[in-house]
Amino acid sequence: MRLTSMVFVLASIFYSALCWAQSSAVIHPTRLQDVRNAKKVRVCIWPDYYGITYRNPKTQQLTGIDVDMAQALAKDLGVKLEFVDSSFSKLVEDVTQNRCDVAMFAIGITPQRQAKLRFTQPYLASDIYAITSKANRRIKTWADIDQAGSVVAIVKGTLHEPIMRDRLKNAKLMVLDTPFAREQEVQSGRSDVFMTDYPYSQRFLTNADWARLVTPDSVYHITPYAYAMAPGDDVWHTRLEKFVTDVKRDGRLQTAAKRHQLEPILVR
Amino acid sequence: METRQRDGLRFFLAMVVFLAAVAAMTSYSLWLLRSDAVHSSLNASALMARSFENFLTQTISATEFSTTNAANQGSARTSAAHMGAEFTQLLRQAPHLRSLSVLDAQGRIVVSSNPANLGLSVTTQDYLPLVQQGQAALRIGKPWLGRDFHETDASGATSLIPVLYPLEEADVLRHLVAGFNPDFFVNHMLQQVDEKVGVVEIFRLDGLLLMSTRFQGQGAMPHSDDVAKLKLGEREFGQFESTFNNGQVMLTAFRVSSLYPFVVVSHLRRDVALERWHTEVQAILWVVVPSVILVLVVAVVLYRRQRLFKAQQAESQRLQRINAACVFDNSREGIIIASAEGRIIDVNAAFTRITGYSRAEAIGKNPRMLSSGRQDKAFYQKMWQELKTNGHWSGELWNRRKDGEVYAEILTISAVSDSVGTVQQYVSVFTNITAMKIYQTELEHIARFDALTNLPNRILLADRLQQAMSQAQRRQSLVAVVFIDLDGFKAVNDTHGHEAGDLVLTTVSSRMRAALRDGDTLARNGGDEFVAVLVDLLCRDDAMPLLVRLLAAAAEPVAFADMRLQVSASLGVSFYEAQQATSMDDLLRQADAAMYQAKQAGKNRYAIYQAACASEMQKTLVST
Repeated sequence: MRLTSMVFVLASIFYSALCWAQSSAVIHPTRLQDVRNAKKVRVCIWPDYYGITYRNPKTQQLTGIDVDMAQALAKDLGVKLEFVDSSFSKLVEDVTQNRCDVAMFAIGITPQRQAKLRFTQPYLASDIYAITSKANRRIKTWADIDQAGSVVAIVKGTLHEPIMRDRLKNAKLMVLDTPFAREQEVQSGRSDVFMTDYPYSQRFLTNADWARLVTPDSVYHITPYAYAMAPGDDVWHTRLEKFVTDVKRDGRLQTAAKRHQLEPILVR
Repeated sequence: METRQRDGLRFFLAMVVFLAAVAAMTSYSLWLLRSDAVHSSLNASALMARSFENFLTQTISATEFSTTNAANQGSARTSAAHMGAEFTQLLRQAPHLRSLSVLDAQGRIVVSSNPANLGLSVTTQDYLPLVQQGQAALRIGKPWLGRDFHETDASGATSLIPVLYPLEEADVLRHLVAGFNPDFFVNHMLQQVDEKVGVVEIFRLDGLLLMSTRFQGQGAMPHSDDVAKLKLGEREFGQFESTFNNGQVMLTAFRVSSLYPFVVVSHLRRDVALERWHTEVQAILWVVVPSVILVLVVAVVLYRRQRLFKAQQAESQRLQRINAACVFDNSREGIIIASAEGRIIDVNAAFTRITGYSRAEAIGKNPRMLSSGRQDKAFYQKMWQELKTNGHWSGELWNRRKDGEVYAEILTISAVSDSVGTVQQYVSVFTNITAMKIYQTELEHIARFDALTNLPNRILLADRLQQAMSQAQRRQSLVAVVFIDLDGFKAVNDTHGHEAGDLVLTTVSSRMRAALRDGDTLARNGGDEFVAVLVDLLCRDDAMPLLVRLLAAAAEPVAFADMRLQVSASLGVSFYEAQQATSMDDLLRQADAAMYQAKQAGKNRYAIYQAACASEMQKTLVST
């Protein structure tokens, strides 16, 4: 009796464990199915990202290549689209905590991120650029940036943070985490430059008459950009991988890139 | 030649005047455009100074309001750390501010948006305006060379302009220091004025440079002098041209802040302002210069053509004059050139030769002076009439020489008209034809008179008889035709020779002629035959005394070389009566027949022709 009951208990534990395992597999078979069931796909974006996913504070209108791409994805999946505001500092958290199904805002593939996220194939690749104030007397060329007395602003969590930490020897780094903070710091003269990439710099310069672009003399650090998702879901990854392949092949990516002047950094 | 030179000089002067006028007009227009350009750029400079002054004043004023508000509220209930965070929050929307701090009474930073500033001392004695009794005034400090108070950077690459506001606190004296970011304002000004166009600078009223759009050497220039030149005590804004140390001319305008101790000075480069003017000058000159050259070329070409034409004209006139003068002087014909009013203008040598008047005597006179009076008034009237209608007249007339001799001339007068047909001159050409006229008269005489006796011959006789017959017809009178034949003439001729015969003929004929009346005609019919025509007879008997005298005249002896030669005459008479239509030939034949009867009857008598009974009517008269 003790033995049987023990066997029963063990069996029931095993079964229940089996059942739990089975049920959990049934509940999350794949995110693709979830998206279809929910009839909407949640896309994380960074609304300060010029040329990629930029929300104009005056009109609240979203524009950028990844706004177009997210719409294309929703259409391909046959579901509605929901944008979720995120940022590079919150990216890993937002994706892994299931606040969105995919992050689509030109996410640079870095080893730090790869440890926590899964990426599609790259679709853009950008070098690093600096933006300074036109009246700034300290920064004239790229070489003036890493000098004693210079202050370089970067946004927390962006791919620039580890790179600049690594590369800057003499300049002071100013890491910021509030919207548009790096622009304010440079404009007020509290920092000399802020680091950014090709899409942001291009779009930003067209609308900021006080700003000046500082380009590296040679290739500084090219980073491939892709879409990121939580790791472990092969079906969902395969579907997104297929989407990127599709938009590259059928020209939708190129059309959008052309629309947002990003053709020079397109990965075909 | 002299005229040509004078013409050339006149043309040259005209061209110079034209060029001067064009140059003056062009220069004036360009000068106007230039002063316009300078003026409008000066205005732009003034507008800029005003706009920047306004922007800076407004910004400082708004900042003063918002920050002192925050500081006053904050100090009351929050800690220094919290207030610092609040300042940081304020800075987010204020790119014109570098930092915000609060100074305690000792001038130490007790609160700051930048934690690095805390505890630092800030010297504010030299901030403008200077205050003695602690008036609550906004004061502007010397630019701090460095990013913030905690940092100093002698290179001046980053600077900060501290502005001090007193905080309203009853017990403690505290100040708020706003670190103004000059780059923000410089950026703003650079939007309108970059280095290629000009410079905008903002000075504290003591001449200290606060900010400049010039990139290099903010402290390098002796700015206080510049500001002193503005004489800000007298006027707070103005505009003028100024020259920089490097020789660049600037269109300068300045304006003092309406609230704070600073002045905005804007300099626009004059050469840049005049760039458009330069292109305008080029464009205008590109149009004007080729146009002027074209006009000059055309004028020179026309002038040269006109000169050539004039020279050709003069040459042809000269040749014409030479020709005309040659003809005039050497002509055998007399030539008179008279004005339209009839005054003699010129005469040639032949005129003098023909008329005897010299050129000096003739000029100014009327050609009427040559008139002989042989032509009547009607003649001249006709001549003038023809001259007026046809433009020329030609004919013969008699004139009188200076010595009174009358001569005949053949004269052609031509009226010389101008292009509209008004008579300018009369040209008369004439030849003396007196000799011709005399010869002609001689020929006429020879044709009508007998050479030996100088009596009318048979041709003239026919004329005279015809006239007499017509006259008799009109007057109802009689004409007697007397056929005369000398008796015994042949014997005289044969015996004494032709000389004696000719003497007898001339003598007898002149005696017979003298026996007749003036109106009667005696003609020689040939040989020793004569015909007399007796006119104006009322009856046949009227003829009888004449017949008797004729017989007597014929029979009178003629002395010839100591001899007395004598002939007689046999006369045959026929009568022409108006009632009878007897022809001339019949009359002569009848007279001839009657003469024959007289011869038959014994000579030295007359016989009258009787149509019916010629013999009965025969009468004999014995010569006495």
